[in-house]
Amino acid sequence: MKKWIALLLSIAMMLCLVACTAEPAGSGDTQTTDKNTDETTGTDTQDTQSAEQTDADETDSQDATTGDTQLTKFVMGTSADYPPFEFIIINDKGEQEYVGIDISLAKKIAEDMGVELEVVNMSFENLMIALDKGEVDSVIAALEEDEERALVADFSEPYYTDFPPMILVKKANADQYTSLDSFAGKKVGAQMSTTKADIVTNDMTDANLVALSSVNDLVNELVYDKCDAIVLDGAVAMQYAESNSDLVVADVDLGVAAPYRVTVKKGDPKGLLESINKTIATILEDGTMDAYIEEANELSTQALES
Amino acid sequence: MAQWWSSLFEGMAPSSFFNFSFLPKYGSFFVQGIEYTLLLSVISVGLAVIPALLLALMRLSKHRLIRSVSGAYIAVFRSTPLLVQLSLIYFGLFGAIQLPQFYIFGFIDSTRFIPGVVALALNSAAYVAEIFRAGILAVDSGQTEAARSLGMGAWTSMRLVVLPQAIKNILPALANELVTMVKESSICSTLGMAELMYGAKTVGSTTLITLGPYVLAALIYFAINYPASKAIEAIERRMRRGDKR
Repeated sequence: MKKWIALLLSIAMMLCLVACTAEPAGSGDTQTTDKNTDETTGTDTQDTQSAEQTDADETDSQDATTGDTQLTKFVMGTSADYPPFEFIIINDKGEQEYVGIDISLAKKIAEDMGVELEVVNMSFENLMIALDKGEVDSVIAALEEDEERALVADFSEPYYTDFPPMILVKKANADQYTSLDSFAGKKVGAQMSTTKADIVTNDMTDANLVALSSVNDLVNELVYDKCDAIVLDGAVAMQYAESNSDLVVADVDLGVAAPYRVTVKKGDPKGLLESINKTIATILEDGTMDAYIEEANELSTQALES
Repeated sequence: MAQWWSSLFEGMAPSSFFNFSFLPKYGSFFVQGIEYTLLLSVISVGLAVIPALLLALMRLSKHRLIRSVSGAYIAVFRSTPLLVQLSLIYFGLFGAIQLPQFYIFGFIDSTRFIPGVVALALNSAAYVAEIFRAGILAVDSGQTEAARSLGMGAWTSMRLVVLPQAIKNILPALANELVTMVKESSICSTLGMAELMYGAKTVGSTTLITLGPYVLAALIYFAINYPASKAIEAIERRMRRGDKR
Protein backbone atom coordinates (compact mmCIF):
# COMPACT_ATOMS: atom_id res chain seq x y z
CA MET A 1 0.00 0.00 0.00
CA LYS A 2 2.75 2.41 1.03
CA LYS A 3 4.55 1.73 -2.20
CA TRP A 4 1.48 2.67 -4.17
CA ILE A 5 1.23 5.94 -2.33
CA ALA A 6 4.88 6.63 -3.08
CA LEU A 7 4.33 5.88 -6.77
CA LEU A 8 1.25 8.08 -6.88
CA LEU A 9 3.05 10.93 -5.15
CA SER A 10 6.00 10.72 -7.49
CA ILE A 11 3.73 10.76 -10.54
CA ALA A 12 1.85 13.71 -9.11
CA MET A 13 5.18 15.46 -8.62
CA MET A 14 6.19 14.83 -12.21
CA LEU A 15 2.87 16.13 -13.49
CA CYS A 16 3.19 19.25 -11.37
CA LEU A 17 6.60 20.01 -12.74
CA VAL A 18 5.54 19.39 -16.33
CA ALA A 19 2.49 21.58 -15.85
CA CYS A 20 4.69 24.35 -14.49
CA THR A 21 6.64 24.56 -17.70
CA ALA A 22 3.68 24.50 -19.99
CA GLU A 23 1.67 27.22 -18.32
CA PRO A 24 3.86 30.32 -18.49
CA ALA A 25 4.46 29.66 -22.18
CA GLY A 26 0.91 30.65 -22.97
CA SER A 27 0.25 33.32 -20.38
CA GLY A 28 3.43 35.35 -20.51
CA ASP A 29 3.04 36.56 -24.06
CA THR A 30 1.19 39.75 -23.29
CA GLN A 31 4.05 41.19 -21.30
CA THR A 32 6.41 41.57 -24.23
CA THR A 33 5.56 45.11 -25.15
CA ASP A 34 5.48 46.27 -21.57
CA LYS A 35 8.96 45.10 -20.86
CA ASN A 36 10.44 46.43 -24.06
CA THR A 37 8.98 49.81 -23.36
CA ASP A 38 10.46 49.70 -19.89
CA GLU A 39 13.90 49.13 -21.26
CA THR A 40 13.76 51.96 -23.72
CA THR A 41 12.39 54.43 -21.19
CA GLY A 42 15.56 56.32 -20.60
CA THR A 43 16.31 59.36 -18.57
CA ASP A 44 16.76 61.55 -21.61
CA THR A 45 14.89 59.88 -24.42
CA GLN A 46 11.48 59.52 -22.89
CA ASP A 47 9.82 59.98 -26.26
CA THR A 48 11.45 56.97 -27.94
CA GLN A 49 8.39 54.85 -27.89
CA SER A 50 6.72 52.45 -30.20
CA ALA A 51 4.58 55.17 -31.77
CA GLU A 52 7.34 55.95 -34.23
CA GLN A 53 7.81 52.37 -35.17
CA THR A 54 6.82 52.57 -38.82
CA ASP A 55 7.85 55.95 -40.13
CA ALA A 56 11.58 55.55 -40.58
CA ASP A 57 13.16 56.03 -44.00
CA GLU A 58 16.02 53.72 -43.07
CA THR A 59 13.83 50.68 -42.77
CA ASP A 60 13.02 50.91 -46.48
CA SER A 61 16.60 50.39 -47.49
CA GLN A 62 16.80 47.26 -45.33
CA ASP A 63 13.91 45.78 -47.20
CA ALA A 64 15.68 46.42 -50.43
CA THR A 65 18.93 44.77 -49.39
CA THR A 66 17.63 41.72 -47.58
CA GLY A 67 14.04 41.22 -48.64
CA ASP A 68 13.49 40.30 -44.99
CA THR A 69 10.69 41.47 -42.80
CA GLN A 70 10.96 45.06 -41.67
CA LEU A 71 13.21 45.83 -38.74
CA THR A 72 10.90 46.05 -35.75
CA LYS A 73 13.51 46.54 -33.07
CA PHE A 74 17.19 47.29 -32.76
CA VAL A 75 18.83 44.52 -30.75
CA MET A 76 22.00 45.62 -29.03
CA GLY A 77 24.42 43.13 -27.52
CA THR A 78 26.53 44.32 -24.62
CA SER A 79 28.25 43.20 -21.46
CA ALA A 80 26.71 45.39 -18.80
CA ASP A 81 29.49 45.17 -16.24
CA TYR A 82 31.50 48.12 -17.39
CA PRO A 83 30.61 51.47 -15.87
CA PRO A 84 30.46 54.17 -17.16
CA PHE A 85 29.91 52.58 -20.60
CA GLU A 86 27.24 50.03 -19.76
CA PHE A 87 25.97 48.93 -16.40
CA ILE A 88 22.74 48.15 -14.58
CA ILE A 89 21.31 50.40 -11.90
CA ILE A 90 18.19 50.47 -9.78
CA ASN A 91 16.34 53.56 -10.97
CA ASP A 92 14.08 55.87 -8.96
CA LYS A 93 11.10 53.59 -9.55
CA GLY A 94 13.06 50.71 -8.03
CA GLU A 95 13.40 48.94 -11.37
CA GLN A 96 16.53 47.59 -12.96
CA GLU A 97 17.66 49.66 -15.88
CA TYR A 98 20.52 49.50 -18.36
CA VAL A 99 22.40 52.80 -18.45
CA GLY A 100 25.72 54.19 -19.61
CA ILE A 101 27.29 55.95 -22.56
CA ASP A 102 26.83 53.03 -24.95
CA ILE A 103 23.22 52.48 -23.88
CA SER A 104 22.36 56.16 -24.45
CA LEU A 105 24.01 55.94 -27.86
CA ALA A 106 22.06 52.79 -28.72
CA LYS A 107 18.81 54.44 -27.67
CA LYS A 108 19.55 57.33 -29.95
CA ILE A 109 20.43 55.00 -32.84
CA ALA A 110 17.19 53.10 -32.37
CA GLU A 111 15.23 56.33 -32.11
CA ASP A 112 16.71 57.59 -35.38
CA MET A 113 15.78 54.30 -37.02
CA GLY A 114 12.29 54.69 -35.64
CA VAL A 115 12.31 51.38 -33.79
CA GLU A 116 12.56 50.17 -30.20
CA LEU A 117 15.81 49.26 -28.53
CA GLU A 118 16.31 45.87 -26.95
CA VAL A 119 19.37 45.30 -24.79
CA VAL A 120 20.82 41.79 -24.65
CA ASN A 121 23.35 41.27 -21.88
CA MET A 122 25.99 38.51 -21.76
CA SER A 123 29.67 37.84 -21.03
CA PHE A 124 31.99 39.95 -23.12
CA GLU A 125 33.70 37.00 -24.81
CA ASN A 126 30.36 35.72 -26.09
CA LEU A 127 29.35 39.00 -27.76
CA MET A 128 31.09 38.48 -31.09
CA ILE A 129 29.67 34.95 -31.34
CA ALA A 130 26.19 36.32 -30.76
CA LEU A 131 26.73 38.98 -33.44
CA ASP A 132 27.98 36.41 -35.92
CA LYS A 133 25.04 34.13 -35.14
CA GLY A 134 22.64 37.00 -35.84
CA GLU A 135 21.30 36.93 -32.31
CA VAL A 136 21.96 40.64 -31.95
CA ASP A 137 21.92 43.34 -34.62
CA SER A 138 24.84 45.22 -33.20
CA VAL A 139 27.41 44.99 -30.45
CA ILE A 140 28.11 48.24 -28.61
CA ALA A 141 30.43 47.54 -25.70
CA ALA A 142 33.34 49.98 -25.66
CA LEU A 143 34.78 48.06 -28.61
CA GLU A 144 37.91 49.03 -30.46
CA GLU A 145 38.57 47.90 -34.01
CA ASP A 146 40.92 44.95 -34.31
CA GLU A 147 41.79 42.28 -36.83
CA GLU A 148 40.02 39.34 -35.19
CA ARG A 149 36.81 41.24 -34.70
CA ALA A 150 36.97 42.50 -38.29
CA LEU A 151 36.57 38.89 -39.42
CA VAL A 152 33.00 38.75 -38.12
CA ALA A 153 32.04 42.40 -37.81
CA ASP A 154 31.93 45.69 -39.68
CA PHE A 155 32.75 48.84 -37.75
CA SER A 156 31.06 52.23 -37.65
CA GLU A 157 32.79 55.58 -37.42
CA PRO A 158 34.33 56.16 -33.97
CA TYR A 159 31.98 57.61 -31.35
CA TYR A 160 34.22 57.91 -28.31
CA THR A 161 37.90 58.15 -27.59
CA ASP A 162 38.82 57.03 -24.13
CA PHE A 163 41.92 57.68 -22.16
CA PRO A 164 44.55 55.19 -23.32
CA PRO A 165 44.48 51.84 -21.52
CA MET A 166 46.05 51.96 -18.07
CA ILE A 167 47.74 49.45 -15.81
CA LEU A 168 46.38 49.13 -12.32
CA VAL A 169 48.79 47.94 -9.61
CA LYS A 170 48.97 47.84 -5.83
CA LYS A 171 50.11 51.08 -4.28
CA ALA A 172 52.84 49.36 -2.28
CA ASN A 173 54.48 47.99 -5.44
CA ALA A 174 53.80 50.93 -7.72
CA ASP A 175 57.41 52.15 -8.00
CA GLN A 176 58.59 48.76 -9.30
CA TYR A 177 56.75 49.32 -12.54
CA THR A 178 58.30 51.92 -14.76
CA SER A 179 58.13 50.43 -18.25
CA LEU A 180 56.48 47.58 -20.13
CA ASP A 181 59.62 45.49 -19.57
CA SER A 182 59.24 45.64 -15.80
CA PHE A 183 56.28 43.26 -16.12
CA ALA A 184 58.55 40.42 -17.30
CA GLY A 185 57.80 37.29 -15.30
CA LYS A 186 54.81 38.95 -13.63
CA LYS A 187 51.21 37.83 -13.86
CA VAL A 188 49.17 40.48 -15.63
CA GLY A 189 45.39 40.29 -15.82
CA ALA A 190 43.10 41.51 -18.58
CA GLN A 191 39.54 40.92 -19.68
CA MET A 192 39.13 37.92 -21.98
CA SER A 193 38.95 38.67 -25.75
CA THR A 194 39.71 42.36 -25.33
CA THR A 195 42.44 44.46 -26.90
CA LYS A 196 43.83 44.78 -23.38
CA ALA A 197 44.57 41.06 -23.38
CA ASP A 198 46.42 41.61 -26.67
CA ILE A 199 48.55 44.30 -25.04
CA VAL A 200 49.69 41.81 -22.42
CA THR A 201 50.51 39.07 -24.96
CA ASN A 202 52.05 41.31 -27.62
CA ASP A 203 53.66 44.27 -25.87
CA MET A 204 54.74 42.97 -22.47
CA THR A 205 57.64 40.61 -23.03
CA ASP A 206 57.51 37.53 -20.81
CA ALA A 207 54.46 38.65 -18.89
CA ASN A 208 51.94 35.91 -18.09
CA LEU A 209 48.39 36.72 -19.12
CA VAL A 210 45.56 36.03 -16.69
CA ALA A 211 42.41 36.29 -18.82
CA LEU A 212 39.10 36.46 -16.95
CA SER A 213 35.70 37.45 -18.24
CA SER A 214 34.77 40.14 -15.74
CA VAL A 215 36.64 43.24 -14.63
CA ASN A 216 35.23 42.68 -11.20
CA ASP A 217 37.12 39.41 -10.80
CA LEU A 218 40.28 41.01 -12.16
CA VAL A 219 40.17 43.59 -9.39
CA ASN A 220 39.74 40.78 -6.85
CA GLU A 221 42.78 39.07 -8.37
CA LEU A 222 44.83 42.20 -7.87
CA VAL A 223 43.57 43.04 -4.39
CA TYR A 224 44.14 39.51 -3.11
CA ASP A 225 47.60 39.23 -4.74
CA LYS A 226 46.65 36.60 -7.30
CA CYS A 227 48.19 38.70 -10.04
CA ASP A 228 50.61 41.61 -10.08
CA ALA A 229 48.88 44.08 -12.38
CA ILE A 230 45.76 44.40 -14.50
CA VAL A 231 45.28 46.25 -17.77
CA LEU A 232 41.99 48.12 -18.11
CA ASP A 233 40.49 50.87 -20.22
CA GLY A 234 41.63 54.22 -18.84
CA ALA A 235 38.29 55.44 -17.54
CA VAL A 236 37.55 52.13 -15.84
CA ALA A 237 41.01 51.89 -14.29
CA MET A 238 40.72 55.36 -12.81
CA GLN A 239 37.34 54.54 -11.31
CA TYR A 240 38.68 51.49 -9.49
CA ALA A 241 41.77 53.39 -8.36
CA GLU A 242 39.47 55.99 -6.88
CA SER A 243 37.28 53.54 -4.98
CA ASN A 244 40.11 51.26 -3.77
CA SER A 245 42.61 53.27 -1.78
CA ASP A 246 45.37 50.64 -2.10
CA LEU A 247 45.27 50.53 -5.91
CA VAL A 248 46.98 53.04 -8.20
CA VAL A 249 47.49 53.53 -11.90
CA ALA A 250 51.07 52.56 -12.80
CA ASP A 251 53.24 55.17 -14.44
CA VAL A 252 53.57 53.27 -17.71
CA ASP A 253 52.50 54.77 -21.00
CA LEU A 254 50.46 52.48 -23.21
CA GLY A 255 50.35 54.86 -26.15
CA VAL A 256 47.41 56.51 -27.77
CA ALA A 257 43.84 55.48 -27.23
CA ALA A 258 42.00 53.63 -29.96
CA PRO A 259 38.50 54.98 -30.48
CA TYR A 260 35.39 52.93 -29.69
CA ARG A 261 33.11 51.91 -32.53
CA VAL A 262 29.71 50.35 -33.02
CA THR A 263 29.80 46.94 -34.73
CA VAL A 264 27.31 45.22 -36.99
CA LYS A 265 27.50 41.77 -38.53
CA LYS A 266 30.10 41.37 -41.31
CA GLY A 267 28.72 42.63 -44.61
CA ASP A 268 26.00 44.60 -42.79
CA PRO A 269 23.13 42.32 -43.97
CA LYS A 270 20.46 44.52 -42.42
CA GLY A 271 21.87 47.73 -43.87
CA LEU A 272 22.19 49.45 -40.48
CA LEU A 273 25.59 51.05 -40.75
CA GLU A 274 24.60 54.11 -42.75
CA SER A 275 21.96 55.12 -40.24
CA ILE A 276 24.30 54.39 -37.30
CA ASN A 277 27.06 56.56 -38.79
CA LYS A 278 24.58 59.37 -39.39
CA THR A 279 23.47 59.23 -35.75
CA ILE A 280 27.06 59.20 -34.49
CA ALA A 281 28.00 62.19 -36.67
CA THR A 282 25.01 64.15 -35.40
CA ILE A 283 25.52 63.55 -31.69
CA LEU A 284 29.25 64.21 -31.86
CA GLU A 285 28.56 67.51 -33.58
CA ASP A 286 25.74 68.88 -31.42
CA GLY A 287 27.32 67.95 -28.09
CA THR A 288 24.75 65.27 -27.20
CA MET A 289 27.60 62.81 -26.71
CA ASP A 290 29.15 64.99 -24.02
CA ALA A 291 25.81 65.03 -22.25
CA TYR A 292 25.68 61.21 -22.41
CA ILE A 293 29.17 60.98 -20.93
CA GLU A 294 28.38 63.39 -18.14
CA GLU A 295 25.11 61.63 -17.33
CA ALA A 296 26.77 58.20 -17.30
CA ASN A 297 29.55 59.38 -15.00
CA GLU A 298 26.99 60.87 -12.67
CA LEU A 299 24.91 57.67 -12.59
CA SER A 300 28.04 55.64 -11.97
CA THR A 301 29.02 57.81 -9.02
CA GLN A 302 25.50 57.55 -7.62
CA ALA A 303 25.63 53.77 -7.92
CA LEU A 304 28.57 53.77 -5.53
CA GLU A 305 26.66 55.62 -2.86
CA SER A 306 24.46 53.32 -0.89
CA MET B 1 17.06 52.64 9.21
CA ALA B 2 19.16 53.39 6.19
CA GLN B 3 21.50 55.46 8.35
CA TRP B 4 22.02 52.72 10.87
CA TRP B 5 22.64 50.20 8.11
CA SER B 6 25.18 52.22 6.17
CA SER B 7 27.17 53.13 9.29
CA LEU B 8 27.76 49.40 9.74
CA PHE B 9 29.87 49.30 6.58
CA GLU B 10 31.47 52.69 6.92
CA GLY B 11 35.15 52.74 6.06
CA MET B 12 35.14 49.20 4.75
CA ALA B 13 37.28 48.64 1.66
CA PRO B 14 35.25 47.91 -1.49
CA SER B 15 37.03 44.59 -1.81
CA SER B 16 36.54 43.30 1.73
CA PHE B 17 34.61 40.10 2.30
CA PHE B 18 31.65 41.33 4.27
CA ASN B 19 31.03 44.69 2.67
CA PHE B 20 27.28 44.33 2.12
CA SER B 21 26.58 48.06 1.84
CA PHE B 22 25.00 47.42 -1.57
CA LEU B 23 22.11 45.51 -0.02
CA PRO B 24 19.44 48.17 0.63
CA LYS B 25 19.68 49.45 -2.91
CA TYR B 26 20.48 46.30 -4.86
CA GLY B 27 18.74 43.61 -2.81
CA SER B 28 16.19 43.08 -5.57
CA PHE B 29 18.90 41.60 -7.81
CA PHE B 30 19.35 38.84 -5.28
CA VAL B 31 15.63 38.25 -4.76
CA GLN B 32 15.04 37.90 -8.49
CA GLY B 33 18.19 35.83 -8.72
CA ILE B 34 16.84 33.35 -6.16
CA GLU B 35 13.55 33.04 -8.05
CA TYR B 36 15.34 32.57 -11.36
CA THR B 37 17.75 29.98 -9.96
CA LEU B 38 14.98 27.96 -8.34
CA LEU B 39 12.77 28.02 -11.44
CA LEU B 40 15.68 27.12 -13.67
CA SER B 41 16.78 24.14 -11.58
CA VAL B 42 13.36 22.79 -10.59
CA ILE B 43 11.98 22.92 -14.14
CA SER B 44 15.17 21.44 -15.59
CA VAL B 45 15.23 18.45 -13.26
CA GLY B 46 11.44 18.06 -13.66
CA LEU B 47 11.72 17.97 -17.42
CA ALA B 48 14.64 15.54 -17.21
CA VAL B 49 12.66 12.88 -15.30
CA ILE B 50 10.65 11.38 -18.18
CA PRO B 51 13.46 11.23 -20.78
CA ALA B 52 15.69 9.88 -18.03
CA LEU B 53 13.27 7.05 -17.26
CA LEU B 54 13.19 6.20 -20.97
CA LEU B 55 16.97 6.30 -21.16
CA ALA B 56 17.29 4.07 -18.10
CA LEU B 57 14.85 1.49 -19.48
CA MET B 58 16.65 1.61 -22.84
CA ARG B 59 19.91 1.05 -21.01
CA LEU B 60 18.46 -2.10 -19.43
CA SER B 61 17.04 -3.35 -22.73
CA LYS B 62 18.00 -6.69 -24.23
CA HIS B 63 18.74 -5.23 -27.65
CA ARG B 64 22.27 -4.06 -28.11
CA LEU B 65 21.36 -1.19 -30.46
CA ILE B 66 18.85 0.36 -28.05
CA ARG B 67 21.29 -0.12 -25.19
CA SER B 68 24.13 1.60 -27.02
CA VAL B 69 22.01 4.59 -28.17
CA SER B 70 21.14 5.35 -24.57
CA GLY B 71 24.68 4.55 -23.47
CA ALA B 72 26.12 6.98 -26.00
CA TYR B 73 23.82 9.80 -24.88
CA ILE B 74 24.70 9.29 -21.24
CA ALA B 75 28.43 9.04 -22.04
CA VAL B 76 28.43 12.27 -24.06
CA PHE B 77 26.58 14.32 -21.48
CA ARG B 78 28.44 12.93 -18.49
CA SER B 79 31.88 13.30 -20.03
CA THR B 80 31.69 16.89 -21.28
CA PRO B 81 31.51 19.99 -19.08
CA LEU B 82 28.15 21.66 -18.56
CA LEU B 83 29.60 25.01 -19.62
CA VAL B 84 30.54 23.57 -23.01
CA GLN B 85 27.14 21.94 -23.43
CA LEU B 86 25.41 25.17 -22.51
CA SER B 87 27.40 27.24 -25.02
CA LEU B 88 26.88 24.69 -27.80
CA ILE B 89 23.16 24.36 -27.16
CA TYR B 90 22.65 28.10 -26.78
CA PHE B 91 24.58 29.21 -29.85
CA GLY B 92 24.28 26.03 -31.92
CA LEU B 93 20.82 24.59 -31.37
CA PHE B 94 19.03 27.81 -30.47
CA GLY B 95 20.95 29.78 -33.06
CA ALA B 96 18.95 27.77 -35.58
CA ILE B 97 15.62 27.84 -33.73
CA GLN B 98 13.89 31.20 -33.33
CA LEU B 99 12.15 31.36 -29.97
CA PRO B 100 9.17 33.66 -29.34
CA GLN B 101 10.10 36.34 -26.87
CA PHE B 102 8.02 36.88 -23.76
CA TYR B 103 8.66 37.53 -20.10
CA ILE B 104 7.80 35.18 -17.26
CA PHE B 105 7.00 37.13 -14.06
CA GLY B 106 8.12 40.24 -15.91
CA PHE B 107 11.85 39.57 -15.63
CA ILE B 108 12.60 36.12 -17.02
CA ASP B 109 13.39 36.44 -20.72
CA SER B 110 12.17 33.37 -22.59
CA THR B 111 14.86 33.54 -25.29
CA ARG B 112 17.48 32.98 -22.60
CA PHE B 113 15.53 30.94 -20.07
CA ILE B 114 14.35 28.24 -22.50
CA PRO B 115 17.82 27.44 -23.92
CA GLY B 116 19.09 27.36 -20.34
CA VAL B 117 16.37 24.96 -19.23
CA VAL B 118 16.90 22.74 -22.28
CA ALA B 119 20.66 22.56 -21.74
CA LEU B 120 20.34 21.82 -18.01
CA ALA B 121 17.54 19.30 -18.63
CA LEU B 122 19.51 17.42 -21.31
CA ASN B 123 22.50 17.31 -19.00
CA SER B 124 20.42 16.33 -16.01
CA ALA B 125 18.63 13.59 -18.01
CA ALA B 126 21.94 11.73 -18.35
CA TYR B 127 22.59 11.82 -14.61
CA VAL B 128 19.00 11.05 -13.62
CA ALA B 129 19.00 8.12 -16.06
CA GLU B 130 21.91 6.63 -14.15
CA ILE B 131 20.05 7.23 -10.89
CA PHE B 132 17.04 5.38 -12.29
CA ARG B 133 19.15 2.54 -13.63
CA ALA B 134 20.91 2.07 -10.32
CA GLY B 135 17.57 2.27 -8.52
CA ILE B 136 16.00 -0.36 -10.75
CA LEU B 137 18.99 -2.69 -10.54
CA ALA B 138 18.99 -2.42 -6.77
CA VAL B 139 15.61 -4.15 -6.64
CA ASP B 140 16.29 -7.84 -6.01
CA SER B 141 16.06 -9.89 -9.20
CA GLY B 142 13.96 -12.39 -7.25
CA GLN B 143 11.15 -9.83 -7.42
CA THR B 144 11.14 -9.94 -11.23
CA GLU B 145 11.42 -13.72 -11.23
CA ALA B 146 8.46 -14.03 -8.85
CA ALA B 147 6.40 -11.61 -10.93
CA ARG B 148 7.27 -13.42 -14.16
CA SER B 149 6.42 -16.80 -12.64
CA LEU B 150 2.99 -15.42 -11.71
CA GLY B 151 2.48 -14.92 -15.44
CA MET B 152 3.18 -11.21 -15.74
CA GLY B 153 4.87 -9.95 -18.91
CA ALA B 154 8.26 -8.21 -18.80
CA TRP B 155 6.74 -4.70 -18.95
CA THR B 156 3.93 -5.50 -16.52
CA SER B 157 6.33 -6.84 -13.92
CA MET B 158 8.58 -3.83 -14.42
CA ARG B 159 5.64 -1.44 -14.06
CA LEU B 160 3.80 -3.14 -11.20
CA VAL B 161 6.57 -4.79 -9.21
CA VAL B 162 10.02 -3.35 -9.89
CA LEU B 163 9.44 0.37 -10.51
CA PRO B 164 7.33 0.97 -7.37
CA GLN B 165 10.11 -0.53 -5.25
CA ALA B 166 12.80 1.30 -7.20
CA ILE B 167 11.18 4.66 -6.43
CA LYS B 168 12.23 4.31 -2.82
CA ASN B 169 15.87 4.17 -3.96
CA ILE B 170 15.40 6.83 -6.60
CA LEU B 171 13.62 9.69 -4.81
CA PRO B 172 16.41 10.73 -2.43
CA ALA B 173 19.01 10.61 -5.21
CA LEU B 174 16.69 12.62 -7.45
CA ALA B 175 16.29 15.27 -4.79
CA ASN B 176 20.07 15.38 -4.46
CA GLU B 177 20.28 15.98 -8.20
CA LEU B 178 18.01 18.99 -7.67
CA VAL B 179 20.36 20.34 -5.02
CA THR B 180 23.27 19.86 -7.42
CA MET B 181 21.35 21.63 -10.16
CA VAL B 182 20.70 24.68 -7.98
CA LYS B 183 24.46 25.06 -7.73
CA GLU B 184 25.33 24.07 -11.31
CA SER B 185 22.83 26.52 -12.79
CA SER B 186 25.16 29.34 -11.75
CA ILE B 187 27.01 28.60 -15.00
CA CYS B 188 24.06 30.10 -16.90
CA SER B 189 25.16 33.55 -15.72
CA THR B 190 27.80 33.60 -18.48
CA LEU B 191 25.01 33.76 -21.05
CA GLY B 192 23.11 36.50 -19.29
CA MET B 193 20.46 34.43 -17.53
CA ALA B 194 19.54 36.57 -14.57
CA GLU B 195 20.02 33.97 -11.85
CA LEU B 196 21.70 34.42 -8.49
CA MET B 197 25.31 34.43 -9.66
CA TYR B 198 24.43 36.87 -12.44
CA GLY B 199 22.86 39.16 -9.85
CA ALA B 200 26.01 39.00 -7.75
CA LYS B 201 28.24 39.78 -10.73
CA THR B 202 26.04 42.66 -11.85
CA VAL B 203 25.92 44.26 -8.43
CA GLY B 204 29.67 43.82 -8.10
CA SER B 205 30.42 45.58 -11.35
CA THR B 206 27.92 48.39 -10.86
CA THR B 207 28.96 49.27 -7.33
CA LEU B 208 32.67 48.39 -7.65
CA ILE B 209 32.22 46.38 -4.44
CA THR B 210 33.99 43.35 -5.77
CA LEU B 211 33.79 40.53 -3.24
CA GLY B 212 30.79 41.17 -0.97
CA PRO B 213 28.18 40.15 -3.58
CA TYR B 214 29.90 36.77 -4.07
CA VAL B 215 29.96 36.17 -0.33
CA LEU B 216 26.25 36.97 -0.14
CA ALA B 217 25.52 34.68 -3.11
CA ALA B 218 27.42 31.88 -1.37
CA LEU B 219 25.42 32.43 1.83
CA ILE B 220 22.16 32.31 -0.12
CA TYR B 221 23.12 29.12 -2.00
CA PHE B 222 24.00 27.58 1.34
CA ALA B 223 20.74 28.70 2.92
CA ILE B 224 18.83 27.03 0.10
CA ASN B 225 20.83 23.82 -0.21
CA TYR B 226 21.68 22.92 3.37
CA PRO B 227 18.09 22.75 4.65
CA ALA B 228 17.11 20.99 1.43
CA SER B 229 19.68 18.25 1.89
CA LYS B 230 18.72 17.89 5.57
CA ALA B 231 15.10 17.47 4.50
CA ILE B 232 16.12 14.83 1.98
CA GLU B 233 17.98 12.94 4.70
CA ALA B 234 14.88 13.02 6.89
CA ILE B 235 12.68 11.72 4.09
CA GLU B 236 15.21 9.00 3.34
CA ARG B 237 15.20 7.89 6.96
CA ARG B 238 11.42 7.86 7.00
CA MET B 239 11.28 5.72 3.85
CA ARG B 240 13.77 3.22 5.22
CA ARG B 241 11.66 2.61 8.29
CA GLY B 242 9.64 -0.12 6.56
CA ASP B 243 12.80 -2.09 5.79
CA LYS B 244 13.54 -3.06 9.37
CA ARG B 245 12.37 -6.44 10.36
